[in-house]
Amino acid sequence: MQPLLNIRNVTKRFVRNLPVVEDLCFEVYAGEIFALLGPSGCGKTTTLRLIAGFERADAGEIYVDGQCFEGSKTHLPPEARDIGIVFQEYALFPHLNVLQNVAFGLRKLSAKLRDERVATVLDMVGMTAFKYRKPHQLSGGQQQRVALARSIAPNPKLILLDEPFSNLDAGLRHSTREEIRTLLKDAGMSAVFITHDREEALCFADRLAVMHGGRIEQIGTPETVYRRPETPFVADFLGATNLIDGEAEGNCAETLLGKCQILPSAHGPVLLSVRPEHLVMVPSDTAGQNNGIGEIVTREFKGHDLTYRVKVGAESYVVQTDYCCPLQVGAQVALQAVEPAVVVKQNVPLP
Amino acid sequence: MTYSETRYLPPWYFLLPGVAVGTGVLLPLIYLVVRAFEAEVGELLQIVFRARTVHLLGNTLLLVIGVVGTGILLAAPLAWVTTRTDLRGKRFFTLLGVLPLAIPGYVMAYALLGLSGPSGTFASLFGPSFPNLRGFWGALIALSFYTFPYLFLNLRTALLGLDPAIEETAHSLGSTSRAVFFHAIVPQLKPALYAGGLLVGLHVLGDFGVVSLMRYETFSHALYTQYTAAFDRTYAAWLALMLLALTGSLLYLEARLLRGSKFHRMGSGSSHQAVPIALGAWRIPAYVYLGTLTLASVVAPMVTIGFWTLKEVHSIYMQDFLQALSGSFLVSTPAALLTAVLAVPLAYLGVRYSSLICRTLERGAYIGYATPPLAFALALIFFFRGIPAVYQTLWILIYAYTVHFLAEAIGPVRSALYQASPHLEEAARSLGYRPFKAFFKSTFPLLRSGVIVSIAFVFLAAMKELPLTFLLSPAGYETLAVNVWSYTTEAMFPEGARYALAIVLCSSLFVGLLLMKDARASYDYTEAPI
Repeated sequence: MQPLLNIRNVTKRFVRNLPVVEDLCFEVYAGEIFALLGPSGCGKTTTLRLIAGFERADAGEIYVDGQCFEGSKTHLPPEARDIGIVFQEYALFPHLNVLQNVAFGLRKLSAKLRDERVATVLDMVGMTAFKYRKPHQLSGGQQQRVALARSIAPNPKLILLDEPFSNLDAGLRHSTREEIRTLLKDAGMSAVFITHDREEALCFADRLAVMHGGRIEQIGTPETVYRRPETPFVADFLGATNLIDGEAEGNCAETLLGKCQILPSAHGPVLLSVRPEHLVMVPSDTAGQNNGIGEIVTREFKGHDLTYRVKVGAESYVVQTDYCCPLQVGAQVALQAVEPAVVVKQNVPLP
Repeated sequence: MTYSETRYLPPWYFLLPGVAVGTGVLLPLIYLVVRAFEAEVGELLQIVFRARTVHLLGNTLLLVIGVVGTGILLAAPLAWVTTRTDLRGKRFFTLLGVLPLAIPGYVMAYALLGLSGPSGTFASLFGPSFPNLRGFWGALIALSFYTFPYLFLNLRTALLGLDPAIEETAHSLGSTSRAVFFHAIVPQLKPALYAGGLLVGLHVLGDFGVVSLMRYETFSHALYTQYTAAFDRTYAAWLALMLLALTGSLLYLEARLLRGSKFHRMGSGSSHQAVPIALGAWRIPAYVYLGTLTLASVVAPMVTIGFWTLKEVHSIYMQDFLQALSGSFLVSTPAALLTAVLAVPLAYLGVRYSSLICRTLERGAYIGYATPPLAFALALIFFFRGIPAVYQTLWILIYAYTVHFLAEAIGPVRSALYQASPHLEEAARSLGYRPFKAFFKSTFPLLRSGVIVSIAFVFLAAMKELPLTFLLSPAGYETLAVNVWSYTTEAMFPEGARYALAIVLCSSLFVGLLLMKDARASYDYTEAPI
């Protein structure tokens, strides 16, 4: 299947020799919601602006539906790209009301068709009742829907969303996320959105790319990226994790915590990622031989779960347990991994 | 993080007006320099190094220092009393600190001359006369009363912006009130004093009306006599150059002083207003001071103008008045419109493009503002002498107004532009609009009120402008400002009164606009949508 959006080796430098994004490659397929996830300054906003056509790439190509939008000799201006964008602060035209905002991109339609389309889209986002309001008379969530309606109205090939939920307060964020996702899916829209919030990326995207320092570190479905991180950064950025040195031999590795299963199989020194919820504490007297014995140094009770910190030798590990773990600070415990540890780095030079 | 297409050159329709303005400011000045250096070296030395130059320099500097000093003496107590004490009627007296701006220097000179002397207003109303105020003292008083509001406004803003926590800390560390004042407050007011002082200094250097009416010999005055009486071009060019050099030195001095005296409030902790100081018995001297200031800077000139307006004047002068009014109107209107049209792209360049060339172009407008009008007028005369299609026409006057007032027009547009996110245009482009249309449809509507304010500003400023009008208007062309000046030189106070009144009216509207914009700016700041 031909991808809708195809980014090939795109590089962008602002200051000479200091790339903001480097050698990006990814595809987005029709109907897909794709996330670019990364900390601030990782180049995700620049990537979005490159796709929209607000920035020019220094190298590489961008294809949409097989047509070259950006290349060494081509730069299609934003107005010719047929790509909608919803900005973080929505950028609604303050001098126009909701209706006029949504109709803004429809000037090529006849008045009748335009009115119909505006009505359809407003209905879709549930803003019909507010059509004569000015943007400043709307709440943040309402403004966002109008912005979304405005970008959807011309029926673009692709929609770009810049940190779509960061301007909403926490309570609203959750419900809005679900609504917008349903809305995009119902409309069959393809979307690329950027975020620094891993939870947002995991639950909103069909697939996501994790960016770090201007490069993509891993692309995959939320499950894959969370469960099978390929780099230490991805492992760490997508959730709390324990990075453990080990000596791999096939699908097993020798670590401070004893022998554990690993994925994928490897040989030699490796760095392993074990999520806190994949570690269990066993009272030291029942532990098998070889398992590193440690001491609980902190215990954080958070209601529906508990977070422990266990010191084994010079290292300390985070362990997540359910609400009823009785172990207290000072207890001697052994740690066991209940899921295979994930190899995030191979051939780690020995310390 | 804000992104904008800073790396790219702006589109031609923004760049071109910027380049045009830059050229429009610099070309005549460069030509002036070229002309000035055409003379032979020996002749040059004779022109520049003569006793008269020293005399003019001394007089000019004396006036600048005198006016700035007097301005500080007038403005500082007023600013302090209206911001930091419990005096009643602070709002009224704050207005008083701004009102004198409505009486331009040459109108103030008209009033002073009309007030003093044996046949003056004062003698007619109260009997005893006091001698005609002329020369240094006359110029000093007229200019000080007119310009002290610039210092007042700057000081007032600074005083309101002071973090009282600093004073409180100083007190808690055992400093006396006097020590706190000199070591904690005054240093923080320095930037405001420099900024206000610079504005006042620029006004004094640029002034022509007051020094010519008061017959006080400064560079401007000498330029004027050179131009009207003995037209020695090289000498006139050199006088203009020396005036420019003096202006440049003043700007440099201010920049130098300002460096190293910038103070910021550290941290974002919310600041509270200082507790007003109870004046107690000091109230009485405070009221006496404020009363005297009101009387001298506003009441006396207005009474004088009113007194002379009521004198019988032959009806033939009414015809003249209407002609001068339409003369002013006819040239101020196109200048205001043209200036606003240019202000939009220039403000846009300055706000949206951070590249050196764009900022330089925007700065070009400020050079036009700071250049003494008389020197600029002379440069234009030199430059356009050979082009009869322009020389001695209204076009050259409109040109001069536009370049001179552009900086004032950029201000309101620029603040409107700061409120408009660059994303608006990008959103419009992603919705299928080409760059210019995207700007016009999304950003421009938000600048509309700023542009209207700009038009009004320039219109009113041009209505009361004197030196450019005086030198550049076609022979026999009458405007309100020129007529105030001419009647005053002839001591025809009744005939000049209605012109002075009309100018005061224009200036009052100007000041009103200024205050309204200020009030709205603070409103926008707190109530800005999103």
